[in-house]
Amino acid sequence: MLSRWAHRHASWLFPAPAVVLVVTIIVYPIAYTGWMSLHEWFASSLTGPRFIGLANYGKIVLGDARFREAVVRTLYFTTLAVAAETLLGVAMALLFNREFWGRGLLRTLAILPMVATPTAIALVFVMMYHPTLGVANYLVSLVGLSPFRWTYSSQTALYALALVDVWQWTPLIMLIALAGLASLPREPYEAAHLDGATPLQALWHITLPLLRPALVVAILFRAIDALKTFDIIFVMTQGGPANSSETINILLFNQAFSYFNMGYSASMAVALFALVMGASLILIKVRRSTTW
Amino acid sequence: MADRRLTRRTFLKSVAAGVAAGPFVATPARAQGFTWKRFQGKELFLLLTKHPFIDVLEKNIPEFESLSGMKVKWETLPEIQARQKLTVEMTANSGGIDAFFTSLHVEKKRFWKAGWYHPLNKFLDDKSLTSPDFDWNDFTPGARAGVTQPDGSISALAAFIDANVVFYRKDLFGSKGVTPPKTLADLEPLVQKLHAPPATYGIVLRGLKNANATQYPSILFPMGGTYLKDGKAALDTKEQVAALELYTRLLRQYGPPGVVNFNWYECSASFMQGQVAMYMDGVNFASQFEDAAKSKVVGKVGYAVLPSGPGGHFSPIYITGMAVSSQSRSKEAAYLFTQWATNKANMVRELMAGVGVGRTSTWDNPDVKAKPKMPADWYQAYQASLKIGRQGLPEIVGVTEYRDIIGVAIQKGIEGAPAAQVLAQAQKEFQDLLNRTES
Amino acid sequence: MRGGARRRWLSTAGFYALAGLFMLPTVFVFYWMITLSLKPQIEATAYPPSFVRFSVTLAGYREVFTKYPFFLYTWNSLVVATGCTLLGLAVGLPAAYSIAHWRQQRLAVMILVARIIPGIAYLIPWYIFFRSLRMVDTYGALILTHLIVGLPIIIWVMISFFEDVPPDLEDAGLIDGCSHLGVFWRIALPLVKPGVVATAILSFVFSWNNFLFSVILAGRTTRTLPIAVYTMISYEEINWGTLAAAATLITLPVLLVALLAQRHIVTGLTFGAVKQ
Repeated sequence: MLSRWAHRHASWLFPAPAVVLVVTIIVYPIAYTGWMSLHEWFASSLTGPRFIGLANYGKIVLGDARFREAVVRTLYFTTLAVAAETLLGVAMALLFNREFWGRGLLRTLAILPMVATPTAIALVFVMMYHPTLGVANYLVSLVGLSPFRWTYSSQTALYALALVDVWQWTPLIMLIALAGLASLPREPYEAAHLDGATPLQALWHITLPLLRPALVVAILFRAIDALKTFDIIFVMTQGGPANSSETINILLFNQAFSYFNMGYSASMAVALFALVMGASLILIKVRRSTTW
Repeated sequence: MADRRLTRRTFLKSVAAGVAAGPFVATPARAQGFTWKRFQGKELFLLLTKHPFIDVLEKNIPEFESLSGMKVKWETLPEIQARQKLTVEMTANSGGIDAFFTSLHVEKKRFWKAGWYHPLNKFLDDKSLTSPDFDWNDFTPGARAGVTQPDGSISALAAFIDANVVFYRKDLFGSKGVTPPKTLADLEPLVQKLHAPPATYGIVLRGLKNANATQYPSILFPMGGTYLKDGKAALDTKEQVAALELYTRLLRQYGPPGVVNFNWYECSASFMQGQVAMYMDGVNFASQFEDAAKSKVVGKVGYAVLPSGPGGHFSPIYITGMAVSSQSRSKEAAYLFTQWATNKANMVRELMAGVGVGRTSTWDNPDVKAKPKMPADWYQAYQASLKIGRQGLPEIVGVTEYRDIIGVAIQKGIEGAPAAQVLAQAQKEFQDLLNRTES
Repeated sequence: MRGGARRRWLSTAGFYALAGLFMLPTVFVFYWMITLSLKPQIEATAYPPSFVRFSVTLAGYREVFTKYPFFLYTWNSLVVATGCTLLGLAVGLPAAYSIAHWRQQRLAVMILVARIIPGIAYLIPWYIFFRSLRMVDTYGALILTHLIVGLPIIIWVMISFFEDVPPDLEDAGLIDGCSHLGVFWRIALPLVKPGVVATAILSFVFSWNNFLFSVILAGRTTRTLPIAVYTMISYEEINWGTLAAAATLITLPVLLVALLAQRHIVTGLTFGAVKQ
């Protein structure tokens, strides 16, 4: 009896534990943040939060140029980093998807960048990027170029940071792409081979389209994380020089833990959430069009 | 009105204070002598910042535990993470932190307004709670003022005072036949003479926004500028423009490449690797400069007081201290710890390890004088700077935001924007900040 | 024949050259980090940088082990990361299967929301929440909160893999009298093993490196490894040697886990191929 009931209701029994877990953990933070965003409070134990309605949101949309600039910068950084990571990640996955000597070791080494503690990596890069003491400029000088300013100039800071992000997170895309390649069915390739297709044609017409769903998920998660990038920017430039690398999350953190502007930072968190949600929904739609 | 001088010795007063101190006083009716073991068996939790003062203190905490019979647990984190954790716990009203290390130049008014500091006046007056040799008046006037709020309440016990000094390469100065700058007018020609890229850059100062705001007053104050005048923003005065122009010009023309985003670690790395002739920053970086395992310029570093200027002779100072959390459930016990951490014995230990302190007597202590860890001119420069010490940052609630405002202005200046223009913008933002938060 | 053999040799050499090129940035930065962990402070920032010839010191590693209960931290990180990953797989795999099978798009988006919420927004409410349950400084709190980062990625990546399972196989199973659970366990799951391994690694790594939640919710008994790295940053000094040593040591366990797990990601040759 129980098994028949379970069989009929499998479609919600299967996801139930995950959904219950997630909802339990996130419902209070969502409620708290939403509530706080409608108030003004400076973390005082003496005066409680003061209700101000949608004033915080009004300020974000109309009054805060710094926030708007941060939005543009965040989108730009994300697009740059994720595009580079996708190209490199897929290329590396295609390259490593074969039997070769040292395969296991190489593929494990390849994921090293995302395994290391982000803060430690950021600090190591800080010194590597040092204009006169750093090894980055040393290598640059070896190939005959003039030294770069990396994170030490408002012109180049964002790009230097994107480089660190690409270095660190390309393995994520590579890992998922590799797993995807490993599960590709054999039949289409056999058919293509019989039809006389070249490896390049097989790649373009069979591999990449079949890989797309998993790939879009990888891009989705990278985009979500990149839009919220915090560690490397915080450690390496703190949003500088002169706010040239300030993204929404950095601004948010500042508002909460430096300016103690709890209500305002909560509304920024909501705005960031909306932005990332929007981007995610677009990517989800892209993915949907490839499967159903 | 709380009178914090310990010369008050009225029996009734101490009893009243004892009663007011709460349920931890065992026998309120009888006057108690001071004893460390008063709260024997209690457990304290401290939130400490990774800081040279704390490095020395941590090693001695077991001494406090045996002295007081209390159990002490603590967590040490870098400043920003420590403040983050404190904020989360205080906003959640957890009561989990009893005492914490506070950076007053960042937190003083903010935490006071939020009601996070427990005022220590009553405790200091209470002879049953304060050891007879604690001597509040031994702290320098600057230190005492630094921990006292406008309403007279004492928020923390001063531990460490950071003063700004000049670090210079004695060898390079000697070979060019120059001496450390006495006035601001000497500064630029001096730096220009020493500037010999790429082997040597004339000067390095912090460029990173927010971080630069603590070194900028080294030029601002002697130039006659300041951040506030009668409670209003004063960022667009003629003196301020001159100060910003000098600071940014020095870095733009004589600083190492990329200095616009240098925090103290890039600056001190450049200096220790011998790439820079002169560096002005907080006095505590010196202990690394004299460590052969870390510095290529050991023995070549000279220490001098900052140059004076038309506005006077000042050294920006920044104070940190030990505070008791207003949410602590064992406030008196926490107070015992804070007073132990800042007592004469511990301060001597700190200074012997090369960490500057806020007590006057420590500097004359015979042990300190007998075994100096640092060169003589470091002590001289430090003490002289304390005498001309002046709070480097405005004591306002939004001080961090002020640091970002002026910090960005400085960065823009270093990258070439005209000083008057960036300061006009900063002035607007600062006044707006004051209107918003200082009411 | 000679032409064919030479062509094969060239393509193999070309392959290794290309692989080397891609791996160069990774190898270099890690090599640099390791040398930093072995150099005395004065050489850490020296210029020109020394790549091979430098004085080796183990002071960094020694300091890491003596200053911190490193083994305790490692154990804590291990417990939390493993717990989080196992729990994530246990609830995530069925959920992913269900979403793929019954096209429950909305559930998927709901779970994604957890990952989208900025981490900072979680801090204060979670602290209040767990404190009221007296769960601060427990493994439970850390595992649950780290799950927020790992579970969405497990579910979403696995959705793609479950979608690739041929429906005829599933239908055949059902017709044969298998329950949904049986189809899931015996038919679908073995086919998506590469995905399971990949997401398990990712979930483990994300939990291992998580600093923000740990610093707020962990206490003395449950403190995790990333905090050890942070405490190298002091008021007036960054201890490069110890920092790099700590960072290096922290990556080792995860590398081991990844190496062991990667054996299960079979290449396309057995299941589908991009032939040479």
